[in-house]
Amino acid sequence: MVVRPYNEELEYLERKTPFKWEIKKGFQPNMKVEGVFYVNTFLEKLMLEELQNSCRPGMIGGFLPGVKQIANVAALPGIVHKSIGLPDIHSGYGFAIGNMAAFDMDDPQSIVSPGGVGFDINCGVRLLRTNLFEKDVQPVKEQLAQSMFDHIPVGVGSKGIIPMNANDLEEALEMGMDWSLREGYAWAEDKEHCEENGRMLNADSSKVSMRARKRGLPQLGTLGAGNHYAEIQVVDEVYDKWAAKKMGIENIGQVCVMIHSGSRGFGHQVATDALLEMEKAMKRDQIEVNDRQLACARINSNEGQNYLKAMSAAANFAWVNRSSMTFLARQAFAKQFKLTPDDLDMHVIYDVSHNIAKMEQHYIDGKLKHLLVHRKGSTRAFPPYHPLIPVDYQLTGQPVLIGGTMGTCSYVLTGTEQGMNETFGSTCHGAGRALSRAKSRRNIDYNDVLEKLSQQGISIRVASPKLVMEESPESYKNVTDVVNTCHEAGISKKTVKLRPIAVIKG
Amino acid sequence: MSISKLKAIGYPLASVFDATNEKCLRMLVLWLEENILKIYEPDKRSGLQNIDSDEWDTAFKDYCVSSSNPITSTETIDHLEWFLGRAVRTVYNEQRSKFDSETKTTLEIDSNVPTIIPSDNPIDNIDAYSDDFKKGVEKLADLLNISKHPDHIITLEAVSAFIEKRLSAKAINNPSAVLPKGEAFPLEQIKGHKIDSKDKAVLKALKVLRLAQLHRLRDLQTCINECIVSMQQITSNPKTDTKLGKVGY
Repeated sequence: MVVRPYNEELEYLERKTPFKWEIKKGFQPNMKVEGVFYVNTFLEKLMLEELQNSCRPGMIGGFLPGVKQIANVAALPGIVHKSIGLPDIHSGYGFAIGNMAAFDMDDPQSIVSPGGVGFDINCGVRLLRTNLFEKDVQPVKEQLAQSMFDHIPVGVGSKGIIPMNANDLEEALEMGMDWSLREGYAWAEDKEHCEENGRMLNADSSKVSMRARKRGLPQLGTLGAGNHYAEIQVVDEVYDKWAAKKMGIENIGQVCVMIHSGSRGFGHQVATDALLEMEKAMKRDQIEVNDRQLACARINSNEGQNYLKAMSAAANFAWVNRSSMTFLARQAFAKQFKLTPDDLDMHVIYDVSHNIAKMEQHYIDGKLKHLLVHRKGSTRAFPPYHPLIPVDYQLTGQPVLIGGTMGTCSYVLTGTEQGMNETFGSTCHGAGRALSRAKSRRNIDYNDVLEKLSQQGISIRVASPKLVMEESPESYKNVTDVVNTCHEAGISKKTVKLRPIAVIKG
Repeated sequence: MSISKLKAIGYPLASVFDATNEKCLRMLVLWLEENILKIYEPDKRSGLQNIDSDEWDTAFKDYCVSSSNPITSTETIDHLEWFLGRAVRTVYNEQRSKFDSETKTTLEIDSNVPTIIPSDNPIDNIDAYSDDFKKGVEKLADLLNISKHPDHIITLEAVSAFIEKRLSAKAINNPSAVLPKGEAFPLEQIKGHKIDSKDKAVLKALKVLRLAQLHRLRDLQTCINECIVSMQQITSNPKTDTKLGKVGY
């Protein structure tokens, strides 16, 4: 890494618009394209402070600052357009979380990097609507939270309540949500409202290690720990009435259920296995990168293909996981209100993936290109009329689900044409950490966090209370800042704001 | 059995052919083989040539096998029908260009003189281009509140689509099943991607076309969902077992 005094570093950064900064070539060695990041004044301060701190002498260890990570990604072989940092960006393994980048599939040098997808492959958010209103749920929200907590196992070592054997897992890895449909855990309409229709077709479970399978099998249908959660939310504000109506959101106070989860230990193992394999491939193919954590392989190499196939299997795992939890959440509501999920109109509004690499077609300088788009902590946000979004959202653009942090609000956005041109149809994914987990544990008391939530009238069920401070709102950037930046920058459009009334967490 | 097929392939005894007469049938088989089909070499046809022999049936069976006749019936006449078809094909293929040009001329002559088949059904006798009919369609369209197209036949199509969808017995008994639910999406809210024209009318037409296309896609997606649901009725068997559950930590 190049170490320069902070004021010299700043010469490589330029504010292009009130919400967009550019990172010029030369900021890190071998940059093939420029970097760009989206921030408002508040987030900008956080970004630059992080850089400033890393410039102080003796600051070694830990992740590199986000700006440096964006620039290192811009130096990867085959990258096109720009290396893009979204407003919720924070340092991660190799790629920053909230960094997206696309690589030209027709360039033999182009790479795929597990660090650009993240360890929790196909971590994503799903939003269900109901026809209930806050007044229906408030009196029973404690029971409902308990019922959800009883149905959906949470926590690090949790195990699911849907019986699965090795053969079921094998089929689920190949079929994704089609497996859930076949077995009757999902509705036909769920598939329609899910990114990729809930199934990556190039999944190949034979590329998945035995270890990953062993970790994955008992965990299907569980929420997991960390920032994952299931929340009962109510509509707090509607910014775009027509788009909201298309999503079945009619009024303020309407109750929704948000599920944020991923591929659990399965995806983590797939990523770990691939990183090991790719280190060797990098030596063999002489791929040079700025940061050891950016382990990668050529897309067309064996290692690259194996990873993409195993990653797709993990993505399918995550969809089956979210579908199973949808089934369980529907059951919990049905029991509480003694009505069928159908009567409660518990349809999936949408299901987004925010840790994934996908093959997509985009126009660059007017030319159609086949790209491998890495979105790590970044959500696809396709504009109206894009052929890959469901027919119900053709007029509004793809719904983008932005999960907030525990106790703060969440948002639904829609994709825009400008986002398609600037960020390959991508936007933010959530609040984004401001403090590291360790720092949160040191500085915040979990009792205070729980107390604050109950003061806000939020019911909480949590498997490991001592870890809630890691997820406290203070540990994160303000999700409203993040979402407003995306809205103002035009890369997505605010539609609905939701606020939680009950949370279940690992 | 069709006598016209026999005539078409030029069978000399077509006019006196009697399908109930076994001898007639046997003669036809022999004629077909010798003149058109030619499945056997000439010196191997003796079995079929002995028309009066008791062995003829056996010879015919062998003949059916050699010609890969797929018919399983035991009746000679059924097999003969298949051989006749094959013979017609053979004759046609041999002189394809001649037949094609003849068909073309015949069709041209035919279309010059429209064939009018008198019908008892009053609807068949309606002149769809008479002024009276046009007026009728317009009245109907006014009654149903359907905007008129300069071509009244297209208006009629719209009227028919409307009646089938909204005024069927099923729809009248249960109107909520066919009425679209929710609020209509306002046309002026439709923006973006490649919808652009300076002419307001063109712009509006573009939007309407987009909506019509979306409507078709929605119907298709609904069909797909219905397919999935009917498959689920066979395959689905969701189970949960709370004993398996374990909360972490």
